[in-house]
Amino acid sequence: MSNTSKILGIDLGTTNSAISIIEAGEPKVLENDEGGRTTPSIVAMSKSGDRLVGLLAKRQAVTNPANTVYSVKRLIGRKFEDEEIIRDKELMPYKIERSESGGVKVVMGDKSYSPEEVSAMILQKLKHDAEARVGGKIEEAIITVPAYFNDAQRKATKDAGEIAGLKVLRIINEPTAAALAYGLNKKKNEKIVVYDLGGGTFDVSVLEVGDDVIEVKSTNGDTHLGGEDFDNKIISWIVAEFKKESGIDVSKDVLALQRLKEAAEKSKHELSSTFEAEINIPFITSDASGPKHLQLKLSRNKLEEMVDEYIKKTIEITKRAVSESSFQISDIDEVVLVGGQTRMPAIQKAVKELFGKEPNKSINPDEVVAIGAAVQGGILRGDVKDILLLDVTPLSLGIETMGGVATKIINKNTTIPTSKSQVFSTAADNQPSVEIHVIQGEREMAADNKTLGRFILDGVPPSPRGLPQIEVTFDIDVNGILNVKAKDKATNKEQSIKIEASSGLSPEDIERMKKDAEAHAGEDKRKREIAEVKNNANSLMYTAEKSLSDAGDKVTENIKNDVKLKLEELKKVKDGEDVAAIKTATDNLSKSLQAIGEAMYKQQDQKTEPQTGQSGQQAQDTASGEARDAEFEEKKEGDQGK
Amino acid sequence: MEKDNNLQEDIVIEEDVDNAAASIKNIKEKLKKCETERMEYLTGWQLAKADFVNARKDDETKKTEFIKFAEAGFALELLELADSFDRLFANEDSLAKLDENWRQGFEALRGQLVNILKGRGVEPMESIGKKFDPKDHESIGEVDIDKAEKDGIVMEEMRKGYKMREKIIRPSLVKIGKFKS
Repeated sequence: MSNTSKILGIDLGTTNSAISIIEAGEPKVLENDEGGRTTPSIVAMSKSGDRLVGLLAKRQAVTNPANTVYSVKRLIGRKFEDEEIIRDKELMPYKIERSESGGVKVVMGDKSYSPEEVSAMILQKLKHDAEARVGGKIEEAIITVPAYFNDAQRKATKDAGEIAGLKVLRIINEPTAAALAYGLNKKKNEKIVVYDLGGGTFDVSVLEVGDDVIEVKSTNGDTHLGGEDFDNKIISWIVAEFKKESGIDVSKDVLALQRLKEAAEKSKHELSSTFEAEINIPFITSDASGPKHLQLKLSRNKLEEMVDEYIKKTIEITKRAVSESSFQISDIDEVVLVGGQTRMPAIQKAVKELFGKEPNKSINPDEVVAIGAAVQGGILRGDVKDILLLDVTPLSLGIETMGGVATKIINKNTTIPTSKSQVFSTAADNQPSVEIHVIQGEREMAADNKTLGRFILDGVPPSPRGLPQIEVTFDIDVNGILNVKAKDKATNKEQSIKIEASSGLSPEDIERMKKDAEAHAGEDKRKREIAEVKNNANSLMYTAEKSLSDAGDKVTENIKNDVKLKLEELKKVKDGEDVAAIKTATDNLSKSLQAIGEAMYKQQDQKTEPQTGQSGQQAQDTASGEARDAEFEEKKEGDQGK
Repeated sequence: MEKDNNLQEDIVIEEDVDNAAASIKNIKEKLKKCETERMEYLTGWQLAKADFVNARKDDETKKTEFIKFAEAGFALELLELADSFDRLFANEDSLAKLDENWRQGFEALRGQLVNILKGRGVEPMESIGKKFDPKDHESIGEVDIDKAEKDGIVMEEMRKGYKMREKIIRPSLVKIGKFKS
């Protein structure tokens, strides 16, 4: 397709909708005009006859319920006689009528609209907002629908897109989109469960990845169970607790209830990362005795206890869905979590316990379906082609530097192809060669990482330590083949090594190495600190010895003896493990070295013609901690992304 | 290098004219395929490059927006405190029972908070008497009124709305007049 305009991925939800596009080969969620990443799926006709969509429609819903249409997704593509319509008709505050063809119409203002037309109004806003973000026309879209939608519901959703001025390239299932977002379509014959607990509905689907398609094997769910039920449980609990304490029922006070609702949502979110949340609403109400304040603590355990029945219910439904698919629980390869409520740790735990594996939850569960829709759009247009799929380096790559420290040159998760270089130097005077030890991994010390290769660059001209400039370049091509080159900038002499892609590391190895790094983070940091302290000590000792010989008779014996004494003290402790002692001895030597510097400057000032004062300067640099030698001391950084 | 080899393989001098024709056809087909592929890669490359340039521009805008957004997020949390002060001062009877010094202290505290917010460009909006507009207001109830002209007008402000440098960061929570004929 030669069309270069973007294909919009749309998650047209019951409560909220989200949109995404592919940019630079990666999916990106677009914000709406109000700055939100999700848009309420609500349309209203205001009393003055204005059509409102999204957040603005939501803000007037309480006082204009008869003309505010929400959850239109529950109506789309259905017949007036359908069981769901008969039930929803009682629940919805707006009027639902029978259309001429036996379908459904909703009334807003003095007109009636088909659910397709109402959905089109939402889609139109999404299209408009996306165009504003992208800065160009958007004419094509992928729209997602629940896996249980029948042909009529799918067709109606497609029609809604066309009414909104979008060419709907595909209607895809929401669980399929979620699986696509995680790239699970590439894993042949995998069996996937998508657990989707949104604001007002729960859906679970069992999928199987075939050769070219993702097939839905079974679906189940509860059309009236979601995050809002969890919120209501918290609100009821707060109201009851407050009544117990103060004797006042705040459930009839609209403002108090609004504040309670916000506090309940906030505490629910907090409890996903903390074990206790404080609910604090000063001046919530007042009685004859004066103002009343609400101060409560809600623990994660208490919340889990309150909503336990809901979680159990979703697990039972999930089990049913799996058994209907003719698979066993143990056959399931991947589990994907969708919907904001799945951020709750108790839900993640329950799902993990059921399947015995960690669910996929790294993508924002409110956005994963829209992202999947954009990915589908990208596949159709050719943006997401294997040839253009850019990989990343799963682990960091670097070299060993003085003291056995692992110095990273390319950080993990860097998109390849890429090239990065850094300049290092020598650790000893007249060092004729440097060894490049190429390592892979996240640990702080080279020995704990995987060795990929070694080579030696020789022929470095005799010079004091720290002077030669050895440029080390890491170059990874699109196939993951690593080329490491070391070049002496003075002689242009170079040496290199080629390392084939990822050196046979399996995904399990990579995962293990990452976990190892996390587990040893504290201990590694200490080791690195010791190495750095020792490096500093060594380099200061070198400077001290050089300063002593340079100083000759320009400095008094007293000063020289003091430096010698401090030098001996540092030598005694530098190979030990007592970091504090090494640091103190280094500091002491550094202070005493300053005396040499000062003395030499004074002497210089007394002379009529100024001298170069080279060694004094060096001593000062050292004292201020700026000179830092290492076997491969980092001098400057070059960075050239290809 | 590989491509050169391929071409050389194709350029074989055949005595048989038919074979030569077939060979030319073969080469033409390969060339056509190459050209199509080249166009495909070039388009993909150009798209990717454009996306990259756009992403970089976008990133700049995002950074500026993010700073503003982060400030707005913090301001929104501080507004909860401002609301509590409003509730405190709405309680006139209870307030009157307080010691004068304490009352003044509370007023000074509220003043401090208002100044901090103002310093960051956050200011309350007036809503009472204005026509209900969901851009500025969120309705949470209605008030029966006997004058037709007050229909749809904000009658009570339950919670103040705020603007931050002309952008609404929180709508006012209001009750609207409802004319009962």
